[in-house]
Amino acid sequence: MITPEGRQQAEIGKERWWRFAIPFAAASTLLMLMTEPVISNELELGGSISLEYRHFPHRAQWQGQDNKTFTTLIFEPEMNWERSDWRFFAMPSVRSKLKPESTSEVEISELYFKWSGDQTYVQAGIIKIFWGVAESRHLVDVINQWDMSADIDGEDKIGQAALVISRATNIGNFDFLYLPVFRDRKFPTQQERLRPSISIRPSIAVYDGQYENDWRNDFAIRYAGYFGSWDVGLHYFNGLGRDPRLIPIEEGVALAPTYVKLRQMGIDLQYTGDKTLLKLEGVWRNENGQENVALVTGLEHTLFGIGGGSTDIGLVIEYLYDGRREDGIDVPIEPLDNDLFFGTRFAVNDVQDTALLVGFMKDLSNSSLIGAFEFERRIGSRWKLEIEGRWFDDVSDADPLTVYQDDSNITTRLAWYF
Amino acid sequence: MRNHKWHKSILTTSAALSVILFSISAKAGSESEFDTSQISGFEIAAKSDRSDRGFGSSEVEVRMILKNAAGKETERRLLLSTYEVPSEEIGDKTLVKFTEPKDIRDTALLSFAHILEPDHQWLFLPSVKRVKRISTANKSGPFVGSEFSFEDMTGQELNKYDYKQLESAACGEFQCFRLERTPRYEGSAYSSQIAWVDSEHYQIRKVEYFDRKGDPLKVLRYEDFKLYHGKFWRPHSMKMENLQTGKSTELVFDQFNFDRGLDEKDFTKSSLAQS
Repeated sequence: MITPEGRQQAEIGKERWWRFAIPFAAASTLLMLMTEPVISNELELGGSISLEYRHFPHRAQWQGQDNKTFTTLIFEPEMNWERSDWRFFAMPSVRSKLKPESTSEVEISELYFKWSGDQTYVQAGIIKIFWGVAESRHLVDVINQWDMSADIDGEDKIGQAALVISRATNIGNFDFLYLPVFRDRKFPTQQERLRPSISIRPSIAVYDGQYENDWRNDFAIRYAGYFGSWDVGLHYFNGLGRDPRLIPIEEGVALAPTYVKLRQMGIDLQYTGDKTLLKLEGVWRNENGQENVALVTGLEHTLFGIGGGSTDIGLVIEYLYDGRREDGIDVPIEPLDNDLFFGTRFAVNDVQDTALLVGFMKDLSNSSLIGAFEFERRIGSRWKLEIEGRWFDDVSDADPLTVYQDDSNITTRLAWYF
Repeated sequence: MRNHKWHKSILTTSAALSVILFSISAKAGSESEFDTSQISGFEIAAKSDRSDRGFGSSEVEVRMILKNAAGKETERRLLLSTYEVPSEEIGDKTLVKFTEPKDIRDTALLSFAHILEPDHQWLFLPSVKRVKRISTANKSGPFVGSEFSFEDMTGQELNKYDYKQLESAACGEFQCFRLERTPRYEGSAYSSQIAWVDSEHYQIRKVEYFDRKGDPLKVLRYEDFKLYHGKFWRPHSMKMENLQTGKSTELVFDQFNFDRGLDEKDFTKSSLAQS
């Protein structure tokens, strides 16, 4: 049960996934070396280095957040080794925070071995996968944990240890996923922005009532296929939910991420029309015995060749509903409970793939309006510039996002690819 | 990092590319048996379009060289795989996988061409591992600064035009039929096109495009033809020149490989995600 000793032991045990990753990499590489010699053109090396500069124009809301600018260097080399029916892929990721304080973190983003048979494939290792069709929220995409210290939009995933057995049939693909390791969500530290008033301490996390993040027998089943203009996905997940509740502990000096058991069934559906895509993602969840449903639905419409030129404009409208309880006591708190997303995207369709995306999320139950933009453009053939902004200037006190009230920010990222 | 949400520009590029490249297989003919004096414009086009069947599957590396009016070049590289669907009622399947520029490496596009209903296309975005079904609505506009458009290529399909045979003319070492094609579909940027089809191998050698005012707009030249397996002609250069802006785009093909043993299972929505 929950004791201080248990907590200490648990902290030591938290990085156990490393013990899985390294022997796995060594063993699978060795296996391949033993079976067949490397031929140089089957081995591809590449990756990227990027420098990210994030600026917060407003003074921080919470104590300890003394800095307005943060600089991070991200190094992501990758190795791909392919033979006729198998493949080995590795992509470590090094995130070095340069300013205000200097820290480094190494992650195994992906590291897997894959065997492809006639109608079957088997994949084992640390993987990233994506399920779903919606743009504003990835509701059915429940396999990978997020890295919220990198960004709060849920697009930065943490590699998941998995064994995947997949079978192709005439009506689509069936996957079985065994997920033996649970990864903690990463949160900003005490010194960083985009966090609640009191800091979140992953080191005191609770996993289904235990301090120990043990090996797990989580699993998921996935179907994905299409019928004419309809793309259909179905899934069932049974394991520890990736979204934590944040429980105040030690008289409110810190928040303990608390993960609860989740059983979830979901559907993702897209109709692809001439210029309009219709989308739906829905889940039924049982979290710690509490049942709730959530939904994202909307459309994406593209206006091609605006004004006779080459620019395309995409319009996205999505409605988001989530029935998770507002207080976050029994289930994770959910800011996107009854919201409308409106986004527009300009694709210039030039040589440099210039694009601008602007989006707004309006809470329909309170006054909250948050906005975001993303600009990207390739420079030369190996560089890419990205500028992103987020603003929270009108967040209702009743909205969970109120903790970010003063954390509007702009990020400039320059990446070099090799 | 790589926090892109919609990726539409990559999407447009690759979608268009697959269509361009697709047209190659539909155009390559092999033999000449017709009495050329009796043949109608439609029949020439039909022969050119239909004669290339039975290649099974192919794979080829392609360089796409974009040149602006000042002569500045930008290059993209991709791997194009094609799977021939035996039925005449269903179009072929293609997979385009980018290798350069590096920031879009492994971005892939799977296309199922259809004769009457819209094509099916799925885009794979490697940075987020996402497979997205995309719209195949025809676009007359140019894309990514290239001089090719969707229309140029999907336009090669036989029934999209009315044909009128013009006077034959010499085209390099060959004598070419000249076919005036008038688009039957709406929203075309062209009033007409003139396709030059050689009378020996029935290969398209050149297409001239005229804008809505009837002025010359673009010229597409097919060059460096090679014969594979004694029956499949393939051009190794397709160069589109814009006569009004001075820009051009050239597709340069490496050796075609018909013996990769690609199977239908290499061209599925799920195999795309695992590519």
